[in-house]
Amino acid sequence: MVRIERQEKKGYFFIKTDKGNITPWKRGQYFIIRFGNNYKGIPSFPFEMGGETVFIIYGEKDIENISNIEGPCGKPLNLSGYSRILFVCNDKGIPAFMNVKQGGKEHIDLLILGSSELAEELGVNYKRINYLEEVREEVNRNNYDLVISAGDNEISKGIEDLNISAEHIACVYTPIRDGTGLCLICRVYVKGEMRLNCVDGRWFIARDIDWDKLKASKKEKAECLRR
Amino acid sequence: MPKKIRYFDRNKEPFLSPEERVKTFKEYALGFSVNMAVDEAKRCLFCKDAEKRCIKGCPIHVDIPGFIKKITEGDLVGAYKKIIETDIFPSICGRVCPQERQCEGSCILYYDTVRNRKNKGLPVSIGALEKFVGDFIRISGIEIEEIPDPPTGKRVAIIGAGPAGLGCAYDLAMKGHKVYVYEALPKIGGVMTYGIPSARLSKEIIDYEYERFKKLGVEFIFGCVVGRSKSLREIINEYDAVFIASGYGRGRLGLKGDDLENVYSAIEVLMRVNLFGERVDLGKKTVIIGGGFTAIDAAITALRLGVETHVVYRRTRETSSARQEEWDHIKEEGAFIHWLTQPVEILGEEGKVRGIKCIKMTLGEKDESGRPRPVPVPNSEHIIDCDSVIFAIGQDPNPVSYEDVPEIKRDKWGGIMVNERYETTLEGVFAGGDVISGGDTVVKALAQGREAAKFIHEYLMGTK
Repeated sequence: MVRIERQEKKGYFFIKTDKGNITPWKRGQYFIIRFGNNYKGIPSFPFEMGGETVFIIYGEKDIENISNIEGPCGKPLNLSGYSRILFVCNDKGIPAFMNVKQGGKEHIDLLILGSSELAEELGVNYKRINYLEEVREEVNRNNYDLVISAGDNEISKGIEDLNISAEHIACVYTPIRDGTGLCLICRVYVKGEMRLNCVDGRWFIARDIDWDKLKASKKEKAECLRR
Repeated sequence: MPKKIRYFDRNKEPFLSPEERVKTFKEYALGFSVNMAVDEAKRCLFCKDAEKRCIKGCPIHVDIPGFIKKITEGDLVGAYKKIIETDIFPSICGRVCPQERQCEGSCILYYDTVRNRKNKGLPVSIGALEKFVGDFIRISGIEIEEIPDPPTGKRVAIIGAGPAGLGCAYDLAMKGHKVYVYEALPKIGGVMTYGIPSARLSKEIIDYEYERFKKLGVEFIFGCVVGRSKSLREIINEYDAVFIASGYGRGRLGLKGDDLENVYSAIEVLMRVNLFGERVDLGKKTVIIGGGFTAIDAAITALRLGVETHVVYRRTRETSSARQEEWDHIKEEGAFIHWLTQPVEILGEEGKVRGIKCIKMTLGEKDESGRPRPVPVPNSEHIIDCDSVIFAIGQDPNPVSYEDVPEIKRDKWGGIMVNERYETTLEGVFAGGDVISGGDTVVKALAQGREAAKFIHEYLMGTK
């Protein structure tokens, strides 16, 4: 079980846990932070900072009310075979970036769409872009062979629509209730087949995703996009 | 003087009225009073050949005349002890077992199973009596000592804290083994917690049973998704034996239009309401597809969410797998039940459900299950307008825990293959419950868990 050490700040806040107590995670895996007696869960990517595991939860959640931390969940993200990697996200995708970057030794460049208070706070090197079209220019200029996108589905869909030359892996955002693959709320259609974001995700080859169906099943979208 | 046989004066368990119960998730079956329970117990004929009748009809072979006799003697502790010799969860099984097809269906007052003929009366209310005994012990706070054997030094991992996993954990802990139960969800119970609505099974009972396990020294590791959080192979290497009881709980869809918004698996609806206390947006009118326990549970839930509830089932009430009385209950509560109705397509508008297209069926020749095969009636297509659709057409196995261990052979449906000793094809790894038998009842999973524990114990002690 994970012991909650402290809350860094309100708003979006850090949950630091004693590293020794948390189950080791692999690159790309997430945890579900549960609140209250009814165990309402929010998926969150872990990363390391100052020797501790950190989770960032957006919104006015009460840290005292954390009842359980589940995981790690989801399939690890395998980046073997890629040499030049670009990560594109918005502010909300920073925890995913940190998780992916810390999960291996590869150098990964970061583009952030718009401003990112969190990136500044974490001291992350990045280049700011204002339009997704700039991703294509970056890919062509630097010969990236992999683009990873996170933050929300619109960013990933937007990059996919650019038809860039590099492979594109997207972090998919759906509601997730548990990491067990029982309820199907997180279904994603990949290569025409139903996959479950909670156990098979959260990383899929972007061109294989049926983005229209993902958009159609936008249940509780506002909430899930915060993760 | 010979005992008067009371064929018909079966005590009826008091229920909340349909108008009251549809407003609450609290249990609607209120249970016997002491007087009613003793009177009902006295209806039992204590058949000398009960092994061929009610005991045989019970999947876990509770000594039914034995515990009922104790009730007539006023010895409820004795009755409880008698039940838990075989069924560790009297309060649960008394509530959720389909007794009409099991013990009560084999009661001589109702059916002479030895002569294979219908008798003239109503069966003893065995389920309600079992529930009464379990509830009496729980509510009165009487501590029943359950003392495990001395520690053996053996460690066993159990994957899944549903009925099979818990049944196995109980017996292995009683044999002195150290048991660790890995559970992905934050509570024990599996389908009993996330699936069966509180209206049928109060979650207080699950909490009570959890305390029993803790007293036995069973360790629960919650929030661990075996296969993701920790690999099964790691677990196999760490323990002396492993029992996989991961169930058969993955929801199932499968109809044109099932990618529309407001299409749900029943498991999603039940889990979100039962476990996470959420209010699911079913709109004003929902259609539930299916005719089993899960369809009933989804209907109970939808009705309590204030939604006009329709159930469509391609067969008939008689051939459905749900309890007959439960169809009556949901109908009393306002559900519309469409028998012999097969959905063919979910209709949508702007990505949202607006109705479901169905076709009427008629019964034809018997199929491989022995039930008459439903056959479409030509030109009977019709549309039921609705705002949401809930699929309750059975479940699939959830292979997440064992999919990365190919040495464990699977059947064609994705469940685990075992021999008669519940051994998988990988030494030291056993499996039981729904993961080996497909979706079945709580009591059957419990029975398998306990039976598997015997073989695991033999394996651990080298007495195989």
